[in-house]
Amino acid sequence: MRVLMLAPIRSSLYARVLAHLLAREQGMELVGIVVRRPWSWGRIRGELRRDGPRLLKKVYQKLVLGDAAFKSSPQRNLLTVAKESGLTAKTLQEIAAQAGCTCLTFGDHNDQKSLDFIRAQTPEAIAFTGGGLIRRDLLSIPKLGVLNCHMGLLPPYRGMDVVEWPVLEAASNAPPLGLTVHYMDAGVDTGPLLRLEKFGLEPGDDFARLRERLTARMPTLMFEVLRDLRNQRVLPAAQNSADGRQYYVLHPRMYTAAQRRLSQWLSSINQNSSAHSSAI
Amino acid sequence: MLQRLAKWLLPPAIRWLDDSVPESELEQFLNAKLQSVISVANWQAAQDQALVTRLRDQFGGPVPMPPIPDPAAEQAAQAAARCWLQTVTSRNAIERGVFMVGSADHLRVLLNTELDDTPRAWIDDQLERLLRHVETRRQESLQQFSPTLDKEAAWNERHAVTRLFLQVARERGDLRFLNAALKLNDWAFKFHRRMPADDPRLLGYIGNLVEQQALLNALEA
Repeated sequence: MRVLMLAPIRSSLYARVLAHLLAREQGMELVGIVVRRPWSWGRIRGELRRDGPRLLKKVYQKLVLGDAAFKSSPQRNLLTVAKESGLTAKTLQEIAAQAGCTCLTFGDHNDQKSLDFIRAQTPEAIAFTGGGLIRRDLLSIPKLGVLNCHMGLLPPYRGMDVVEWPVLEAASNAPPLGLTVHYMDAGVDTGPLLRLEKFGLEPGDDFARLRERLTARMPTLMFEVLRDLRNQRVLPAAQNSADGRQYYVLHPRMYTAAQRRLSQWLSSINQNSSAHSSAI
Repeated sequence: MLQRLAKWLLPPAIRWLDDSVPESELEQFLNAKLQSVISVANWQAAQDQALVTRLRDQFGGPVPMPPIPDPAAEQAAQAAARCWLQTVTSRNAIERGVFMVGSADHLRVLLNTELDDTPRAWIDDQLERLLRHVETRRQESLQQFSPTLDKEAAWNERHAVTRLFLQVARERGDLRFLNAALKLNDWAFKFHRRMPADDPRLLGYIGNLVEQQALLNALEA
């Protein structure tokens, strides 16, 4: 199967792990990698509008710290997954060179030059690992579609901050957390579903730890779905728009409320487990 | 070297870009303005009465009694909203960034009105559109109105949208609308912090802040 990748920056660890897995898989052909230029007025303006001041933290972690951002973490994270997979390349260009394909950088994934390059590679599927909105012209290129791994469970939780929102909204049931691989369409996280994977809370969790755990699973999950598509072992399931809602960036006070809820959830888990132990 | 410099620059840069207002600053503002606003307020509308009750519950102190609710005024508002609904369902409350004046107040009245499925679905769609507009355009949202408004009237419309969002959050338990209302109130803060107490826009703003605080308290309870 011919797969092309869209990446947010050339050093993206998520993109590198996925590209590495694809490049060495039999029957999978990595036909090109398109990277979005990190510094452009349009990108900064768009991402600043979407993320607000936390964009700076993201830039610091991804562009300044890079892989070192994961080194201080005690739990299994994306860097652990990268090491386990045998990834040594520091950039997507290196992986592309190893795989015998081209890696190019454009101002935006939807630029005409980018579209021309992608069309010329005739990909059957495109794996999106970040870099902004994808327009219809690009969505229509691959035969199968453009795949995205969303850090939340679809269809209920579309949009932004969908790790924190379920915790904030959870009443008596455990918050629905997880990852969803889906085809992208013109809406926000409304495309057909390919795979859902649920995650539970663990003692000592905070949102950063939770996100780190989810992020660590993203490249392998995306890879598994691509492999299943190649083997025709997965069928897309259409979403019903009424089954979900779109969520937006949390206001700092709502984020604080979500953190408080998370602590409450975790203490209730601890209480239950200690009650269970004493009963045994 | 670069990492150290970036780490050192990060916190002040985040503070500089952050457009949210610290909780303590909002509380200080409310405490400073509340009594003076209450003393000059002209308690006419039903929502003012609800506000006064909440002010009394939350802050105590001498609060002037509002007039007795006027059922005739409420019925008139319902009738006006129903009439508006019949004429606008082929359009949207927000279309290409232009907000239809009066929509927020009518939608708020219609939230509690018995309606058939079709107009109810239309209202839900308008709420989602408004939410998306505010969340994606952020401080550039609610800048264009149809018909065009002067600055004072524009603020009244923005406050009406915030009040609508707060009511949706309260009645439907949809926290996304409280989230958006918090942002709208933060963005409005700099325009209201030095406003004189007898400016009617200040009452609308303070009412929204008090309702926002009440909802946050309920969320944290």
